[in-house]
Amino acid sequence: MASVGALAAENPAQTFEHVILPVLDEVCFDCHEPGLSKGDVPFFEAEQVADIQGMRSVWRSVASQLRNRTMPPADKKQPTDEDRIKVVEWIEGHLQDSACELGPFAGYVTARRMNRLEYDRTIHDLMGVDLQFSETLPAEGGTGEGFDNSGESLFLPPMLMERYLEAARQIVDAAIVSPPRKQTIVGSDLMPPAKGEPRKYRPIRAGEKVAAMMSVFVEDDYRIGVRAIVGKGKKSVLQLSVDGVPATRIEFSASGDGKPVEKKLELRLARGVHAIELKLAKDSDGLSIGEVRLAQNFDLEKVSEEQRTNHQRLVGAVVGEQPEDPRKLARDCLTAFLRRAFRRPVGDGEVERFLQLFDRSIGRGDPYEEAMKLTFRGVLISPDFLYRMEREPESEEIQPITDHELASRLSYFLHATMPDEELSRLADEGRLNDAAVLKEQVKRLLDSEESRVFVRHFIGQWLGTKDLGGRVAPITNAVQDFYTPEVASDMREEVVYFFDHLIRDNRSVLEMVDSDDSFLTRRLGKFYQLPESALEKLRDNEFRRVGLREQGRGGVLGMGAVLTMTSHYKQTSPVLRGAWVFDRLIGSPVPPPPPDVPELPTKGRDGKKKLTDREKLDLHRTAASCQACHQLIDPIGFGLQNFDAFGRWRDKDNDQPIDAKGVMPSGESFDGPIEMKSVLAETRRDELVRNLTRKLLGYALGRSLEDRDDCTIAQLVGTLEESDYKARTLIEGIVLSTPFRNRQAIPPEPIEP
Amino acid sequence: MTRPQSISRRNLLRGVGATLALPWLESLTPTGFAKGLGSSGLAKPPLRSAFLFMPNGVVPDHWTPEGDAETGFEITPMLKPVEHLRDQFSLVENLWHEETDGRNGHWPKVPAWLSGGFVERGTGGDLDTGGTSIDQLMAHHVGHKTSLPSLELGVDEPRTGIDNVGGGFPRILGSFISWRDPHTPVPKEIIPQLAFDRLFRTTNRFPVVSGIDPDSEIVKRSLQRDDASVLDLVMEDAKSLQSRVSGSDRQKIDEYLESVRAVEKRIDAVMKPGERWINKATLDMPRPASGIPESHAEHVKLMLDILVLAFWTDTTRIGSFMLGDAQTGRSFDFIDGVRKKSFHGLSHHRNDAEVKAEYEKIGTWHVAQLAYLLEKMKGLDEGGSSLLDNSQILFGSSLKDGNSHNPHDLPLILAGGGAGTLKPGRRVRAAKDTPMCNLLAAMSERMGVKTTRFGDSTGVLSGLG
Repeated sequence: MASVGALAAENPAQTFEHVILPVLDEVCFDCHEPGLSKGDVPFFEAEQVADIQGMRSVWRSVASQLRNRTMPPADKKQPTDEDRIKVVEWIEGHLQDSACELGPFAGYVTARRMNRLEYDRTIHDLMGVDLQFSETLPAEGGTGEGFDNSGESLFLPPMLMERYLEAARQIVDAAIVSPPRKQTIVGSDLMPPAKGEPRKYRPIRAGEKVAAMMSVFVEDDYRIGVRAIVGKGKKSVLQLSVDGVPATRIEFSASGDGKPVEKKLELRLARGVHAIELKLAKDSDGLSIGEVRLAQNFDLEKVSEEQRTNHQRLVGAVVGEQPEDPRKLARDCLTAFLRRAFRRPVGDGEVERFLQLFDRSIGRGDPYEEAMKLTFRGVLISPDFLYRMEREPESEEIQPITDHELASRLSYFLHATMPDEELSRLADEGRLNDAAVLKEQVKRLLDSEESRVFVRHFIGQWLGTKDLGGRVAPITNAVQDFYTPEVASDMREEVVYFFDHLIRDNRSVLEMVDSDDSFLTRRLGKFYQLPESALEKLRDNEFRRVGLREQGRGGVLGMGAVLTMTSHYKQTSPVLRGAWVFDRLIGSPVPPPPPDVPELPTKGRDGKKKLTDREKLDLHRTAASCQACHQLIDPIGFGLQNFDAFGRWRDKDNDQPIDAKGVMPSGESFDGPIEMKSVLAETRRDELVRNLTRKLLGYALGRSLEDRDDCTIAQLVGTLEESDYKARTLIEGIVLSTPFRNRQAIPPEPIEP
Repeated sequence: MTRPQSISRRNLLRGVGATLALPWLESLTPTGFAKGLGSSGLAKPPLRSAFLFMPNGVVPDHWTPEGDAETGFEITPMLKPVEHLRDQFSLVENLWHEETDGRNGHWPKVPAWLSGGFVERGTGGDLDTGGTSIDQLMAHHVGHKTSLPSLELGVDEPRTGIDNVGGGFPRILGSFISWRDPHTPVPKEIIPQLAFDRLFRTTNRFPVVSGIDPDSEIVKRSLQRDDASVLDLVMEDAKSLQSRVSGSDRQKIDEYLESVRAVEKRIDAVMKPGERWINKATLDMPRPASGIPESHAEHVKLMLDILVLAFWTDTTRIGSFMLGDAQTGRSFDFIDGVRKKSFHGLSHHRNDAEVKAEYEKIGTWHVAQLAYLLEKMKGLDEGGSSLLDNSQILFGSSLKDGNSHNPHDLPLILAGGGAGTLKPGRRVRAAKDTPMCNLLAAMSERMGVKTTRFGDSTGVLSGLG
């Protein structure tokens, strides 16, 4: 920030009191007098310059509203331009200078429940199965800096607990292979027992009901066999029910030789004990049941090599084999498993606790595999697995988190999953919190293909492009010939591949706005109507880097995802596009339109001529209540008018040539997207860089940023400026920063009941 | 091997409906419950409460009738879809939430709709909506009587990000009307199949067979009790954590423990059902297909069906349903005469006659969904009275007028007989700017939950019965 003018050299307390406050008193106080209304922005509560420290974000907002001329409202008294600039520059300069006044700040990251993406990826790494729970778990709303990995808003309501409980069962069933279930109940064990001496063949009369209690471990198809003897020349019908629900009828007729007859059928059964009930139909002849058998319709031969390896890794035994000393093996496997599941070393007490589940299962005669499954189910819904818990800080002093906590933070930041073997090993050795080692690991994680998940998740949420093709632009008949789900998907991924490249090749982050390149598939290239020569180099299902300066593209403002998302259906909106740039890229959103906006004229003053969009907006800007914001946002949108509502290039709209000229409120003029982007990157550079830094820090920490985080942000921005804005400098800087590697207790704030 | 009529769960669920299904659904046959475990049914049907939120307000003069007749009033254009049900509901007028006055157009009004709380600005790290919603208060006090304390439904995924003009409101505020406490929203299920399954999840109980004692060791050690034993174990684990942490981590663990207890309670309720209402007739509803239906109308209808099923089976007595989140950008172009534009966009119609007409059509469509629900509930007999007679259903919006964000005289319909405590078919006109919390307190009182003061209530709204 280069706003440290002559004013800053003076005594800030004096300047604030004698220069800044009088201007604000004059133009803001009438409406913003403290205590006037309950929901007001309380910046006047700062009576001395030191008070600003306690409300930095409020004062930052004061500066940006003044700079953007969104305050004071147009129908209220305005400061002179000179005063306006003086106040804005002083506030910004003061915020910059005082950022680290209170010293470094680590803050406190609340225990974070894994969000559904992290849950899926962690389950994959831990259990070796891919069940895509992210499709069905409830979506997380993002707070903090707007990301869904913010601990504060990752709630765990009963509904989700129910889901985790069910998911855990599905996961262990998919990962661990139980031996095929077989069970036989002989006639004398049928319920209720026959009166008198127990006999192997249980006779039943017409209308009588007996039940075989069968237990199955895994939901699957089961063959049920019923063996019975029917008297010579007799016919009997058994009504079979499962847990009281009638399923089918089985007819028996005598075999002639007095030998038992067996009838079979197949049932789908859920895990649990089931009552297979057999009721002899009223008009049937009596019969005697010898046995009821159950066999799982499952063949161990069909288990794949991959499944076998995974099974053995988890439970320590070959598929289908029972260990000699089950409890010892269980203990060993569980110790290793808990270490990975809890992402830290575990104590014997913890292992013993979970072994209670193993004992419960083994104790009732379950096979080893089932006992391990039940044990793992406990682990998979335990708080130590579902939450990333960090050790409680002992004081309000800054203190380093443990190496294992650091490994988790780093791994979930850049790979959205649990630490891999190398990170775990470094943590075990106590070497991770060494700056050189950390740098090396950041490089390794970023070089890995897995880091694209981080880019996709961060960028998609920050820019809002993850919603494209979802609720933002529904696909309908009128456009489905060209705007297909594949095109929408390619558009979303274009943004991801572009940022991925900035990071992978360590380019300047300013290229997000000012670049000549992007990444396209052939399909997207066709959609953008690139010349055949350019298309030749592209492939349908692979993103390749393309120079697009001639097409007016490059950077996010030439991307279909952004341009489509900020358009109305089939119609562009310079207003939405400009507002998006301020909201997402620059990080100082403009206020929403006031309620009861007067009707827009659709015809010119002569009452005849139909106005173009630009003329309508020009008229709009003459209305006092609209002027300030629209002067700010509309020009950016005008610069993008060559892109239609789906981001395709056009020279004309409704047979009128496109006018893509504009003037920024600060005076710079441009014609077309390329010039506009350069002007934007130039005039708003500090804000662009600061906003990206802030967003990325918020994502990395998984908490809302506080005023005192300004110190870290200022330092990161400073380092970034010195390194030509290199993307990896920023990520590395965040990982090495105080709040990423440390934690401190916050003085408790009483919460009202 | 012959394969006579294999009962695949899928087939059963698709073909026969939820009333007849495999074990994990068996508890749905309420008579089976009573018979098997000797639980006694209630003597008369209980009162159910539902809260239906529609986003973005209404066209005021096409909602509120002219004049001041209590009965026989004119049915305004937006009320046309419920005209044939006019003796089943009352219009409740002149209510508002003072704490939403003069604030942001949408965000604070949504959590406040059922709580009246003052919603603080913030970035979400410190969510404070100033109140617990009335449905959750009811659930807290009487929810233990049913296997699900309450059911929260919706159609939109929660919003992310911050609307940070001048201090900021997290957009997540616009996604929840149900709040467990001022800091914690209760997420809503938006996928029909999952909402349907939720009614019957964790209901896998030991089969009832004569000769087996449900309290015996064999049942306790059975597979059916595994979920409970797993929960017991992690509860122990969480309790040991609880003693080691404080501050916001402590809150997280408390929340975790509370959820574990809630699921345990559900399991216990299945093993030992308490007194519940048992309808003799059955209500068939096929298990919905997975995913979200392409048609929005179908989506809303399924969610309403699930709400009715939950009430009918006495799985819960308290439900909330958001027919859309605040500022929903959904297009309603499936309605004749509505273009493919965002609902919220159209709500700011700037008095453009054409746009305003589209806005009104969307609002009227929402009233038609209420009509569907009321008709369905009216048609279900509970032994001399209908399910609707035994319900109180609040339908409405947190804005009177979407164009101006007017918070006065909120558009509210109170339907159902309230188990004999309501006298529908009228306009209940309170004094101007009466707290809506007075109405919420009146509904709460009818559920047996009395509050001396709820939100900014100044009393219990009279004149409803």
